[in-house]
Amino acid sequence: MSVPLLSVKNLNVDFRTRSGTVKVLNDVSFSLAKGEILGIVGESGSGKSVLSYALMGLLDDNAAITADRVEFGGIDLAGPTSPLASIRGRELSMIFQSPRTALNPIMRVGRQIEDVLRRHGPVSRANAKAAAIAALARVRIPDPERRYAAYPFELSGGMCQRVMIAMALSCSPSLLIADEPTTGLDVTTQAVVMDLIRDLVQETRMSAILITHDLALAGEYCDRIVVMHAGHIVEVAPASELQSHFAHPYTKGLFAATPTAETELEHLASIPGSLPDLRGELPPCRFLYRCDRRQPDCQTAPIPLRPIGGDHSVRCRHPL
Amino acid sequence: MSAPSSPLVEIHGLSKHYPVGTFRRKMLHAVDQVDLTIAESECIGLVGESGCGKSTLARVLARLIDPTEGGIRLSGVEVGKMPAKAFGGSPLRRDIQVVFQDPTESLNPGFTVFQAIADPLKRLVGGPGREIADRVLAALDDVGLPREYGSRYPHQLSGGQKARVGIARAIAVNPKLLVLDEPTSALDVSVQSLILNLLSKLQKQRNMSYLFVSHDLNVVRLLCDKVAVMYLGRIVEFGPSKSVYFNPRHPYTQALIDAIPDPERKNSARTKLEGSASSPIDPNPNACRFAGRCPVELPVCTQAMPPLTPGGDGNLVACHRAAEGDPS
Amino acid sequence: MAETTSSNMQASTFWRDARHKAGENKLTLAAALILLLFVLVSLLAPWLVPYDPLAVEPAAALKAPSLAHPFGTDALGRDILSRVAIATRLDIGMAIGAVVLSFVFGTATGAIAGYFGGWTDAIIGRFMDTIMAFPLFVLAMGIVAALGNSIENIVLATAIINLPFYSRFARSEVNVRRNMTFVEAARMGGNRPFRLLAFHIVPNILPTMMVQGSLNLGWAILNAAGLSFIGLGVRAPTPEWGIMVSEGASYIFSGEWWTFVFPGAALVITVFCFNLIGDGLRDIIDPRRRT
Repeated sequence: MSVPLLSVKNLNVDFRTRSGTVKVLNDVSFSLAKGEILGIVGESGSGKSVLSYALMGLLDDNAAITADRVEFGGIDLAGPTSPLASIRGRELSMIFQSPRTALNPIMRVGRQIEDVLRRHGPVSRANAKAAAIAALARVRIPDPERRYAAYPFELSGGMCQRVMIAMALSCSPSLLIADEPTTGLDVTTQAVVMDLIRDLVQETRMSAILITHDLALAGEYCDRIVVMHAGHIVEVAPASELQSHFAHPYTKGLFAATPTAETELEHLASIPGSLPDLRGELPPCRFLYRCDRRQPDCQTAPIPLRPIGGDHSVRCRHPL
Repeated sequence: MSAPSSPLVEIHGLSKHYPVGTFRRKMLHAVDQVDLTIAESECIGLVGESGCGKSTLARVLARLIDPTEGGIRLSGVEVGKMPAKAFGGSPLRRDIQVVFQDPTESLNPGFTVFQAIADPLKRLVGGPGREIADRVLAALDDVGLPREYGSRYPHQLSGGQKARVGIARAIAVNPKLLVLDEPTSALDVSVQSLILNLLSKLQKQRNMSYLFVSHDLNVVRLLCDKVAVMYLGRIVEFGPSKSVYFNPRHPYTQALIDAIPDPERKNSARTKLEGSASSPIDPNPNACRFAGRCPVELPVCTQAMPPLTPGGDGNLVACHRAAEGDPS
Repeated sequence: MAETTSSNMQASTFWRDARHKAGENKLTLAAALILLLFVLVSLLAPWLVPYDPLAVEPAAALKAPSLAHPFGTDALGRDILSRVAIATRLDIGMAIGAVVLSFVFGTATGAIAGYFGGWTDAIIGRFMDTIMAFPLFVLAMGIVAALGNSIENIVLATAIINLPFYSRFARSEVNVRRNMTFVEAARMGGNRPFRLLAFHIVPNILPTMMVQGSLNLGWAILNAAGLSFIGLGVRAPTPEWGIMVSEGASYIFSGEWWTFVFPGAALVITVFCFNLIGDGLRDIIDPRRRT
């Protein structure tokens, strides 16, 4: 068993707000191997984006982050001497939703890539342009010399996202976090961008975390999938295993609500209730009030993420 | 219902062009020569990617904007020729209503739920306050919202609840045609399935016709009887939704379906659609719009615009290769 | 089906926000209380003041502050405390009058320009540009020359000079909302353009406009006081802070500081409080605070 690239144990994030403390993440633990694509799936409010921001150190000051361990390539990121600021962007890189808004609208894209290159790498001014064009070519942007001089508004959403990927990969990071990179893009563009990410990951043995609300997308592109609900990881399994043998009632609900080629409208179920208020008193299982399998012992003590065979873990006292 | 009468909506040769460029001499063909028929109680899906013109077509049909050319007949009455403002003031306004995409943006933040639903009733249906209130409450019941929610403001509602309010507001005036512009794309998947089931129930209950605009073919297949696929302003394929979904004939439709994420497919090849759509500005009227991107292009594709021809199964396809009977 | 609202986090009311903000920002709370005091004074002054503000008593001229006259007396022996208190009503009244006038007309013209665009927008815009080309004092003098030197005309001049400020703001706010889908939905509901504007869009922009208005109050007071200072509008013997500062200015070097410091301080405190309230209002209403 090789050393995981990223190891997170018992990560908790609370937001201090006017109306109380919001317990956004609780007992989040997972690991990521080298060269692996991990999917983090959840609906809005599940905490998946907060998790990625916490890993990158991008949360606001009102966020209280505690963890037993957050280790990246052997470096402790959680402690006071965390070198996060220096490795962020270089070893650990991120791309976001809405690529056009993530790019500086009044700067040509070539220049934006050059900025990243020169900030993090030993690229001189003379070489910067050539390096930027090479980066654009690497993400399969057609006609990279011409696109080098383009402004973000002149590019389509898919191309903007590819520029973002080029910027994120310019320093050959070991980990790429992609936060809903294709939400808002056309499905054909989504396919191209996801294929690109997958190919680059395989070429460079980089690891990637794909955050998405789309189960099918995670199923196609990820090796392993983490399912989140209301700040908890409720299930972790290899993608194919999750598809065929999901164990958590929430995962079951998600699959039942996702239309596929085989489903008809009558089969489409929904998950009753809605997210609990993360400010108040929370039961040990945050899915409790939405679950049709709940038992008295679901309310008594915190429920750990327990392995149920193979690489499959679930946070449930009565898994399916 | 009586014997099949004339269809509810007949769109014929509908185009919407926008003047663009310096001196406004070039024309952007947002919608081009679209023919579409919607029968009573029928649900038609309109699918396509960004820039294909589906939202524009929906807005023209809903008479929010005027067509550049072509006709729209609603229950036999020509409504395309009158300006949008005149339509807005006529009693026909209540026959076509719209459910918008972003439930948050489509609700006035300063109106309570009750006020939001009552406003179109007051303007389009009229009548004493008691009757209006009854209709509002009936609409709330129909969409499954508790009546107390009438006094809430949009920021006090969840995404799914806001979506329901948007639907309640649209159906309260009893329209014949409901145009739904991506009503579930801003919602979580679990809420989406609730809303889709609700829409299906309402359609049958109230005998409405739907024009369901979406980029998600899966969703359209579930709810709609027939689907039209649009590309760069034109309809390229049309037919019963199952048939279009499982047996697509147009290469663009095939690419679209192929692009839907499929966990079973992992790592195996798929037909990829590179590049982006050609420009909708002053397009060549004698070439297929998909030429240049089509994986199975023929020489004739850059010489003549393929017409929508029947392809069997009640499908219509606008493709030279498909018309040749050559399955790709 | 039990669908609890997941947006409980954002369901805060205006008053809860206001209380919280006031609690958070002691300065804003203090400003609000001071203004309240001033408003009370403006309402009750005629019955509370120890002396008749117009009563001339040459024997008691230019007396320094004392128990009998806490703010001292001016060149004609009038009690300055009484005059400052009575003037509160006039000064605050002029400011509010001017702001209300320009708010109403500015919002209306701006909303129409922002919604209809085209020629309407162009014409209204040029009209506002013309107003902005005039310095306040020049405009005021013009109005006074044309319509007469009265307090009403000064209020009018102040209102006019402020018109473009509201008009442009309303115009851009309406412009932003014009294409939002709730406006399209209202159109679907059979609303004609003016109804749309009046009942759907404008109520929406009023909160931010009101913040602008409150920030503007301080400036309006200074305008009115400034005009009186140069002799337009208010005339002796009417007590008004600006005119009192003007009269007192002649005594800067001879040492009778109380003749201009007290009315000046009243002006400064009022303007300061108006601005603080405006900032506080903005913080409460700012939509970014809601998420």
